[in-house]
Amino acid sequence: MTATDLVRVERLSADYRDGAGWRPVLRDVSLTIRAGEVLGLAGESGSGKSTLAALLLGETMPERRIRAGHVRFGGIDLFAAPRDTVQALRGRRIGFVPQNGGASLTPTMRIGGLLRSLLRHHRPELSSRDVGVRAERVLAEVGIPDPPAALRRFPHQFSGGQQQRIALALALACEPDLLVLDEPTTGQDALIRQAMLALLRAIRRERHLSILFVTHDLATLAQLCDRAAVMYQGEIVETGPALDVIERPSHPYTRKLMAALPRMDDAALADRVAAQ
Amino acid sequence: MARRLPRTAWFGAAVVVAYAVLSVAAPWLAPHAPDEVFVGGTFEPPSAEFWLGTDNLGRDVLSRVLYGGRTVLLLAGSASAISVAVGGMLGMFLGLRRGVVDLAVMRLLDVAMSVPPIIFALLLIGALGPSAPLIVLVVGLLFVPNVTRVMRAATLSVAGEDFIQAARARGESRAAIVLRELLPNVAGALITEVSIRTGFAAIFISGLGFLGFGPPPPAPDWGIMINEGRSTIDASVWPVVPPAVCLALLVMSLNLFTDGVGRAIDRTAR
Repeated sequence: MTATDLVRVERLSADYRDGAGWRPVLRDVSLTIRAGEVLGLAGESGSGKSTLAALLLGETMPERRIRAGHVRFGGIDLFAAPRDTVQALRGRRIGFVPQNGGASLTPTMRIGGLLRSLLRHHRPELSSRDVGVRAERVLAEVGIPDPPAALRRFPHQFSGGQQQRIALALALACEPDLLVLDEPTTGQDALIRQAMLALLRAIRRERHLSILFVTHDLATLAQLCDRAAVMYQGEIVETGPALDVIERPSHPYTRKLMAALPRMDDAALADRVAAQ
Repeated sequence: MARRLPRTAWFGAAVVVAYAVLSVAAPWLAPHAPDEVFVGGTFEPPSAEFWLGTDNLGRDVLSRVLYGGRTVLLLAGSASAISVAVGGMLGMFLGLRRGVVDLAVMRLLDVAMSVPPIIFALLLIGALGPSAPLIVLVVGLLFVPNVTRVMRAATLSVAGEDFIQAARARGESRAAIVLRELLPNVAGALITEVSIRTGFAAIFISGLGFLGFGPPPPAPDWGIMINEGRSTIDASVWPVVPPAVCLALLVMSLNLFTDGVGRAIDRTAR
């Protein structure tokens, strides 16, 4: 592990419970995320990328087992460290934004309650006033209009795009070193997706944090990531600088993914435009 | 949710509140003491002095019904509180914990539920002697497996939700997740359980009284009143009908309230 490696995944293999047996979901996965780096993790649904993202939080559950390997965050082995140590990292030094940001917000709690309880839990040294100021500031940072009023509202009173931004605000509230984004732009229309990517670029520029950006859309990787890793059937099949992976894919699966991207100069599209 | 409650639920709630008020105010409302015997006044029909007549010992039925409401509400309410507190916490813990512990405890509860509750209660109360605290404890614990199952199922349906996973990912403690994320979202199931268990406990405790295992005489218990009046029903129906109607109306009202809350939760969820 070099001095600049924030996260190091070492030969990680994990299984999911499948009836009476276990089904492999990660096979011998190794990768690193350097301090201040944005790593894109691409692959089709079921390739294991969301599982890998969850394991970066040190999450264990009865349906999942770690067969081999380690995940180290800042030198701490997340599977060997005491439960309290790992729990203290989550939300404080590792921020997580799930795919469906809206569903990740507790429906019975106001946004202010969510942000304040998070800040009080991880930053007990802050005064009530500071907690309130930070809550407003982080909402403003992610582009939520009128933060004082937004703190008094419930999640359902925001649009889908705003809910996703609030989920991002919760992940950023405690000023983490690593942000794990699990397909944060999936299912959004093109304009909202572009706005979210612009927001992430700005946050990265201002906060200098590391980001793991999980997506099945290779095109978005080029816009945000320094490096890219491609997963296929639980294995990392290709890794390298994001533009190299996208422009000169070396693995047949990556080439297939690239070929599947819709292009404006597709012959079929040109034919259709000509026909109209 | 309150605005979505059907009228039947409001009616049920109003009747239960009325029972509670009448029971608390029994010492002021009852025309006589519940165990006051009027010599020569057995099986009196309703009159200006005895609104619901008198029983086989010449005691005022109205006064005994009013005081009997206290017994049944206090005992059934306490038993329900025990079952919901213990079963609710256990169910939520197991629903979040899952794994081997969940499996082992649920199988133990399955075994406990296979024993007929009335036999278990009669054995225990028969051996230790009937007393109000013992009846409350036994009935409360008898309902724990049922409440645990319901609350575990409610927890499992919520525990997989993204906001619970997100709370874990934010590093929240298990206690905070239970109190802030889980409890408000299973509150509907909890309210329903309180209501159902109170109704069941009222019937169960009255049943114990009917079988002679309720609060010791001369306690004004509706079950005891029905049993005592049953043997002399050919002489007068008045010692039997009022407590029986009161018990039926209480349980029906609790069921109406429960049903209404359940339907309101369904509509809110939709």
